[in-house]
Amino acid sequence: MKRFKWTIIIVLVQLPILLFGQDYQTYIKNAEHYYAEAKYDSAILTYQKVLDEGYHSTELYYNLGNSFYKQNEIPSAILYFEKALKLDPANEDALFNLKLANTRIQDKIESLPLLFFVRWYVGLYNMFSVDNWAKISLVLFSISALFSLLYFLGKSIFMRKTGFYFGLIFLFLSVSGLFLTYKKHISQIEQAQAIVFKPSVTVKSSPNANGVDLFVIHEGTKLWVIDKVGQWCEIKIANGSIGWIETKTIELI
Amino acid sequence: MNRLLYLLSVLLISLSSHLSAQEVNFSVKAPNRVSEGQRFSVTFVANADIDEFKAPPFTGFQILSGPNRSQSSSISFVNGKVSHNVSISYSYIFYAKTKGSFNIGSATCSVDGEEYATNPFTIEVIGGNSNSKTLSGSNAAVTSQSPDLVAVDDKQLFIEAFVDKKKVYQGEQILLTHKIFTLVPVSNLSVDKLSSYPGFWSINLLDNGQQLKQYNQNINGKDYIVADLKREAVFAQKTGKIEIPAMELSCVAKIINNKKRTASNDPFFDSFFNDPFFNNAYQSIEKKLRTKKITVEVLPLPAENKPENFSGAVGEFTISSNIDQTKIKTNEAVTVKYTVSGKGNIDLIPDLSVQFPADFEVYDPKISTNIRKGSTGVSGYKIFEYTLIPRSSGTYDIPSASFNFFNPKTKHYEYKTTDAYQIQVEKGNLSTSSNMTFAGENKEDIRYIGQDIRYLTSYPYKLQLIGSHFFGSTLFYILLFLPLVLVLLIVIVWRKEIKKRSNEGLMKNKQATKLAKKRLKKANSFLKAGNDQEFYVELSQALWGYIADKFNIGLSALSIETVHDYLAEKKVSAELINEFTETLNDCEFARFAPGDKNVAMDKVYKEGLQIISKIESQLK
Repeated sequence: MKRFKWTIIIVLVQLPILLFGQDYQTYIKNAEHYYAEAKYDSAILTYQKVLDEGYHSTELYYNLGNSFYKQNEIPSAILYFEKALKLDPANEDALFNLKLANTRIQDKIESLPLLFFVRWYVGLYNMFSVDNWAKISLVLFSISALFSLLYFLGKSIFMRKTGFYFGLIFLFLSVSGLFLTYKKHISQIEQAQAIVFKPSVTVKSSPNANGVDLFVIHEGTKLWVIDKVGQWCEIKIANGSIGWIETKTIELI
Repeated sequence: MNRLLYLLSVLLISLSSHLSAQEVNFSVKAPNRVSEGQRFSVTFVANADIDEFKAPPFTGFQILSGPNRSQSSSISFVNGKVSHNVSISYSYIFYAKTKGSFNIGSATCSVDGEEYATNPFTIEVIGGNSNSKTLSGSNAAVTSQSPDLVAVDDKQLFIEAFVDKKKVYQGEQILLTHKIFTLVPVSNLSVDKLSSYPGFWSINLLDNGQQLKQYNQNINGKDYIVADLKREAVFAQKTGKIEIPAMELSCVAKIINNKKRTASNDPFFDSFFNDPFFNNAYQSIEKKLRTKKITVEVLPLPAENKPENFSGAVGEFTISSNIDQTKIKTNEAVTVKYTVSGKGNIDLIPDLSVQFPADFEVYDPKISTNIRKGSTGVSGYKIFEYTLIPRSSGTYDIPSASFNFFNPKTKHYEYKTTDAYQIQVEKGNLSTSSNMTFAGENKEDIRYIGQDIRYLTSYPYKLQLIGSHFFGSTLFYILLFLPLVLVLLIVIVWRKEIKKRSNEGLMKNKQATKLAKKRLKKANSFLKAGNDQEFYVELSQALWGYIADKFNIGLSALSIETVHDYLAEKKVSAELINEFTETLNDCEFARFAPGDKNVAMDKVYKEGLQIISKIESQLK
């Protein structure tokens, strides 16, 4: 019964993907051909058609990033690699290409060093995307439910003990998972990431053109958007410096 | 003009005649006519010690030097009279920039508090090229002396620039020659202008130290002496109409000056001194010569069929290659030579890009260029010599090198390739690598040759709707609470089932005594009737059934041993269990035993009753 329900749910979730995926298969295949023939601009246009239809995926963003990189549009390439990593932070290819693309931008910003446990913690919740964390937590929670069944229905004391302890462990794990999911979710909402698209931007001390010039950043640099006032937004770069720049000069990941 | 000069001279003469010897004389010496581009000097002279010299503004001229003050003094005794002469001069050197006549105001000075001024005067600047000036006439005084100018005709002496073609492709070779044509002897050639050709890259085809080669050429019936001043191969570096700037040259021409001699009115003397034998019959005249500007139309290289990796070479070229050996041992060197030869901008040929096997150690090529400068332009060859050292054995292909260029003659891009080679590399002797450690002999680190991003992820992958987040969606919450609900449901259902089952047992348990009593009653009736067989069956059934119902066990599973076990588990005392089993045994036994049946039956019946009530009490 339970298994049957799961199957139905999975089929229902994937049904639209299976149905519509067929239409975009041709687009994607075409784009791959263009890429192979080094017609990167055509590949970009074709991949973007799929995005325009309202579909995305890690691989799609990754491929777009590759095409932009080959077109020598490094800021766009970085933007799309970051988008790919937002959906799947563990994508090794995207990580590699992003690293390579970042060697080709002008700004070299030293990241602010974090305390080791903070670094571990941030690294932990950045291991998976929000949705993957959610899925992992659900699986853990289901396992803990199964163990609780063993506890409630077990005949021998050994079975009931096993059920109790393992159920408790998995319950703890799933609650931690949900917490990390939430944390990751919040971090994405609070710290919207963006890429600079103007060749050179002067960061001001206040949200208007008369503000004191603080520092200059260049295209392709990643930053975190903290606040927004009118046409300006407050940003933070990897070394912790904060200032205001015009919203039109950046592109949100 | 002449009138003006006349007036000026009259004024000067009258002025000077009025001045006595002791009087201060302040005058100016300047040419009244100069040619454009000429240098000339203007000198202000005073015969007394002057204090404040103030020069007039000079418009239309460029001051090259000045004011230069010079002073001379002399003392003379004439008839016992001592006279002291001082001469102070301020001289300027000017450069006549533009044509026209220019007025120069008066210079002032003061001597012992008295002010003196020179006369204003006019200098006429005439067209530079058509007129020559005599060297001697450069310092002609303002005094009325008609200028003694001798012109060298443009027909007699001129220079000209030639190009072999006026419409070329970018990078195509043009032969640019500057020639001098003359009918008169010429010396002191010096190039004033023309050092570079903007927009062109040039190679001099003449040796600098060499003397100019002269030859005769007949133009319009006149025998000119011609010399190549400059011969260059130039290569246009940009497209469009490009001007080759004019060359300016100054030289000294020697011409027979017959004007001066005829003035003496002595026919004999004249003819004598007009003889060319006398050097002084010649007058040296400085002349400036200028070529016309040449405009060359430079066409861009056609975009049609342009190879993607176009080398930029324009001309006619061939490429050949040469390898010194094709069978070698590891760690030995192979030399591959590529020679590009032909006509055109050889120097501008870029490096060949040959894809050598990645496992070879490739050194930067030794490039040697040899350019021959001929009368038809630049030709030559460029050799790229690559040294390769294979590090591991095997058979390797050295692909053919290719070289493309644009041939302006055929107006097509041409593509030449060399032979490809195959190299057999055998394992070298250990002796050559004797210093290697044995363990590391065949191992090497992976060498990274290039760096690039990783390739695309190919299609089958899942697409998601943008903006559909799993976390926080209804499905997420459903899936989150589903296990909880399911567990609760299952537990509840299970519990109920267990309850139901345990109720059945309880019922049986409760009814067990009743049922046993019923059977015992029935047995009692059989006892009274004296039906011993039926009595024992009923009694044993009552006993067995009681146990079966009480402990919820199937009748088939019952035996003396199991009963013993069950009772022991329920903590019934051992005596009672023994009693119970004895009664059961008695039952079985009595059925078949001979004797007073009624007494035995009565005894067993009582025992059974007692046992059941005893167990009942112990179980509670």
